[in-house]
Amino acid sequence: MLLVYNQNMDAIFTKKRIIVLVLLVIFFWILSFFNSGIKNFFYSQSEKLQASLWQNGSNSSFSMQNQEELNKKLIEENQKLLSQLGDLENIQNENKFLREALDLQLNKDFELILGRVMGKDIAKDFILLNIGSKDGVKQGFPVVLSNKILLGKVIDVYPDYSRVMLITDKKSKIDVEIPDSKGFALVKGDGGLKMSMDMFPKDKELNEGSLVLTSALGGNYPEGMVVGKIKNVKNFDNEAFKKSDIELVFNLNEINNVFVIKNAEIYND
Amino acid sequence: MIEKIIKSLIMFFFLYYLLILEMSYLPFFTFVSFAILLVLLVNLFEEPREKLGLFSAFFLGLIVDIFSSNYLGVAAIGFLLFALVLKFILFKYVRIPSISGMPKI
Repeated sequence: MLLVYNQNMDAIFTKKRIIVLVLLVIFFWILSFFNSGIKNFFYSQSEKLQASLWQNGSNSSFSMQNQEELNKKLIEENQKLLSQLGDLENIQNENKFLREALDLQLNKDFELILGRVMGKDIAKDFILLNIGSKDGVKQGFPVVLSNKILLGKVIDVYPDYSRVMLITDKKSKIDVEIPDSKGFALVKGDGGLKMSMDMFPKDKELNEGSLVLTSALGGNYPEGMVVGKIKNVKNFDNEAFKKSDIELVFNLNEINNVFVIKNAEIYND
Repeated sequence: MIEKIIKSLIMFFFLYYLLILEMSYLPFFTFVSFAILLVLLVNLFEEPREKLGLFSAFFLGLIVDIFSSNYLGVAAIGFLLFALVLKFILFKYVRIPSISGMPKI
């Protein structure tokens, strides 16, 4: 018995194991040519399950809050909204009229593709969408929410699915502007759904809560998309620029639908 | 042989659904991956002679590759190597009979 154990465990790499590993490497090298097809197959098998789990997960996040408090808040909000509804209807009619007159449809600037979130990647700052190359998605396309909030960009495209790198990923770098301060800076992802801002000029004022928007300088993202809000401004004497953290303006847990912006020729890297 | 194949298949599907659950329903419990924890425990507590730990590490790596932007095989071979090294270290240097179930060398 001991002899068997010794044969197995005296060295990590026995002849047999090396052969198996080499065969595995060759096997996966061949599989890499069919990478997107294989992944697409597995995603299609688990799509329904993933989508329903994601939806249930985002719904259940509300149940963690105090239901009574939430109910009270909703009633108050409902009353407020009802009173605003009448006013809004008038404004909407006026707005519609003006839009038609000025030919300013919202989707004029961007051609959008609607996608649904299937799940969050095991590697943290990535999400999987149920739209792919068949729907016209290409690598580098920006992904936004309906209210112009920037979510990230498409990094992998499969026939029916695509993977989005969130702006909080460590590889993400965005040129931004802070309209309040009239200054430009660089926002970097720190991973784990966190971001920070750097390279903000020291001579300009930076206020907590100021909105951070994408600038046209980088060219990776459309101009004027909301990136987040300024939080924890750091102004050290020995550093040439001001720094700060960025507060996210979206809650990933509550996102179900996203838009992919199709204008690749303008915004690709 | 058939028993081993069935065991491995059950492990594969169990890990597959566990990972889907983690990614879609519990995406914010990122501080611990239950699937990785499970594979680690299997490798720690099974006899070094057994191969279920190696298979489960390989399968988990494969599933991670499928659901990430990795090329297929990167995590699969990586996790397999990690499990091999872990088993080797456990056998050679960790003298806890309850874990290795092995006679002391």
